[in-house]
Amino acid sequence: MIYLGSGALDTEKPFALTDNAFARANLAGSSPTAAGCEVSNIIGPQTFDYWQPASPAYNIFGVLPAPETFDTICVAAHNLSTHGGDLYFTTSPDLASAYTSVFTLSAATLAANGPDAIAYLFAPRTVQRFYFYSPGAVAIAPQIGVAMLGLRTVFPGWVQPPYVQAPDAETLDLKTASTLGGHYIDGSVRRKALAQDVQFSPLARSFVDGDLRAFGKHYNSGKPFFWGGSALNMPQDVGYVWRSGGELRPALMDGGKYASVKMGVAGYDA
Amino acid sequence: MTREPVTLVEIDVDTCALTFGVGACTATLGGATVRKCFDTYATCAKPLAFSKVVKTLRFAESRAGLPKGAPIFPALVSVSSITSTVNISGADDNLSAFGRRATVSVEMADFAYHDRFLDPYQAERISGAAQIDEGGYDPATRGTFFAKLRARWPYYAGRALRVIQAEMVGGALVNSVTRNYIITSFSPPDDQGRVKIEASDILELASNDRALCPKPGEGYLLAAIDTAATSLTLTPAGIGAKYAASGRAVIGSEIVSFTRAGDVVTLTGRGLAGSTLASHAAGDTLQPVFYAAGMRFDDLIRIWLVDYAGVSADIVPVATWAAEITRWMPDVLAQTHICTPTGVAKLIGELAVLGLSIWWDEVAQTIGLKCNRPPFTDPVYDLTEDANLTAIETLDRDDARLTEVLFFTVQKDPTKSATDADNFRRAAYVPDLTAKGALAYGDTRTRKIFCRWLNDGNDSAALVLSSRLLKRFSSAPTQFRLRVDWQDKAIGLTDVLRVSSKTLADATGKPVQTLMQVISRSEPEPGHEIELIAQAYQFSARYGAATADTCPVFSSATETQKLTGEFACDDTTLKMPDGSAAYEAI
Repeated sequence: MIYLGSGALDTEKPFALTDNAFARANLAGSSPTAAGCEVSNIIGPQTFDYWQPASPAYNIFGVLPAPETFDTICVAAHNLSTHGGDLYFTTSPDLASAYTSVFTLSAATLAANGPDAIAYLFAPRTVQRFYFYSPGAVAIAPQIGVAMLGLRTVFPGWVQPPYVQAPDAETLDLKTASTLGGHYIDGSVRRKALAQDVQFSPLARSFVDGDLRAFGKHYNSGKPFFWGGSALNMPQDVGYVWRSGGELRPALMDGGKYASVKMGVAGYDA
Repeated sequence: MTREPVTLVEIDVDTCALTFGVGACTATLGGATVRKCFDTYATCAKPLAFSKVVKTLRFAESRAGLPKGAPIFPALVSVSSITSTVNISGADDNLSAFGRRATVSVEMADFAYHDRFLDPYQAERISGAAQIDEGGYDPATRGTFFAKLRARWPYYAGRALRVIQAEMVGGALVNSVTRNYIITSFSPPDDQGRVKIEASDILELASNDRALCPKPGEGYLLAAIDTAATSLTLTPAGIGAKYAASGRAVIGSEIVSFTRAGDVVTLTGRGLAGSTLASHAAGDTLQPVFYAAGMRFDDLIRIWLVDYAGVSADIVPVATWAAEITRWMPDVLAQTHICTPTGVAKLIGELAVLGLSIWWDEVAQTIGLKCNRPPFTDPVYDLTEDANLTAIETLDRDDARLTEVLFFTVQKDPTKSATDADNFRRAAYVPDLTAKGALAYGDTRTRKIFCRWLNDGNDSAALVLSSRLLKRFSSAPTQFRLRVDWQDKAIGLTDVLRVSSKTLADATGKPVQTLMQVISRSEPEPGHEIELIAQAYQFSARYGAATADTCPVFSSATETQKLTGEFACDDTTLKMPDGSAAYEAI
């Protein structure tokens, strides 16, 4: 689910978050339950290893070398819906100022979200220190696979039909069995990654020659990112995804002022 | 709710409980130790201090919904497993008498990995504090998971590998079935980044190149002895400690009995068991003999597996084996000398030919043993075309049919060949005259059994065992390839099936229920479908044992008494009082 903070910009537009301040910051977190479950697992990019604090009251402090501007934080591969409790995120613009709240997501809100990815869009703010924590009202420590913090890439257009939102983009193999006598016995499935095909409305040439080029390098190299089709109109449509199709190839349209862009992504399915 | 089958593979890696340079680990960086260990014996700077603990690596196919927590690496590409194949009474010449070992082949996709779970000093590799021959580096950008694992852990052979078939419900694994193996090979990543790990069942430890019985003699005669000698001295000095304090041994072709004190051996018997008294030269080997003097088969196999093959006694269900042998082979006692080191698998195979089936049950983690016998009180799985079978195919095995058994017993000289008829004194000939008849099969299919285990001349055992073999194999032992759904996953090796299919009919075309015994089991689609190879179970007649004196007559007997006892039939109708079939002797 995508949650919108006060002052968040361009909330109706598609976005991608490729940046991750968690990976650049000096992180200190609650002690892990065991070796291999350290807080550094939260930077990803893998989704199969988790930061698993020993206590349900957990926290992560991050300190960046210099202040930066961010507007999005995302979490995937987690079980915050049933573990940990209320979730808080606060930031400080420098090494001295007090922390101010970005959001509080209640345990009830997290429970309603279930295991799906979480994105919180907020008004751009300067950050040098951040504090991600829970007092741990639910007495089971959570596991968090990936968290990303950064400034999202906003696509100045729309996703065009046909488009399938993340919650509906599940792919699975189905096997059914019937006996020689013609009776249905059993069916089983194997859930795989989400699969989404995105066709943007024509994107302005200035964007294609600017931010899209940086995004394209990230996408083409197969690195994962958070993707949302429209925070305002499709708040359930957010996922931790990576390239599944061909390269991102903006095709210039008549006159060269716009380009047709499409991409295919596979995504983490909780 | 739709089932979500999932296959996981676990590998137990030997790691160290200590921390580099702390406490019992006295390693320090410097000199030849240019980097901290990777928590394995092969990378350990102080091997004598290595304190083994097992770290389990878990792998699963890349799929959604895997449990969160300790890493489950989504690198599993495929698992191909074949359970052991039971060679019923050693009758299938295509298999060794001991059957075929269960094997599993696991294919993984290699991947870049940051090493956090594998390397306790991962952060120090990055900072540079863990090495002195170079600065810091990022392990995620150096090498791949399996390439690094194999380099750090070359001692994978014989370590545990488990295949877990389970179902996922709400992110948790339920209904899991674990199969246990030992690793036999671990190939490095190929140019496509694929890794293959192969493993075999625990009875691999008994293979002929791993386990020998008796153990090879390591002592030699210090001086020559003549035919009158009553003692000898072993060399090299101190080697006597590797021999039993008393027992039997062979020098050249002479079996002797002895007692021992230090390196001095007192010969208490010479030229035993039909061997030839002879003089022996200095330097001749004193080879211990495995002497079975009236031992039960279950005891023999347990001793071979535990004492000679190193199989854990925990996986030998002694009581179950004893009950089986007590019920079906109570009077068959081994009397023999094994004079040369012989593979344990070969020895067990020789007993299998006498009517034993031995297999590894990967799920129950026990070694199964069953005699060649009627189903008796065994549970029977009913399989029908309506409820269970998704495919059935009949495999004709006329090549395994028998019409007669020639059973050689009582070796003339146990130091000589155990497979040469000239070295046996007796040969019991047991034909099935009906099957040999010109209007029946009209041919001869002889099974020669060279048995060195009944050297006491137990002719009645030879006749009974031969008779049971013919009961089982006098008709072509048809095999069936069956496919059933995962719901029937409980069916295991040697289990008895009662199959109803239109492909199995009597002379009128009426479907008949057919008893079969599972001899092989595989999972072509893990979690979804099971393939069984079953052999027709031709012990379909009614058998029983002599009843107790207190047992009532048939018409008053309980169902249990009727099931296990043997009652006389009407001598005119040859039926039981209730019209059912008469009992037969076996």
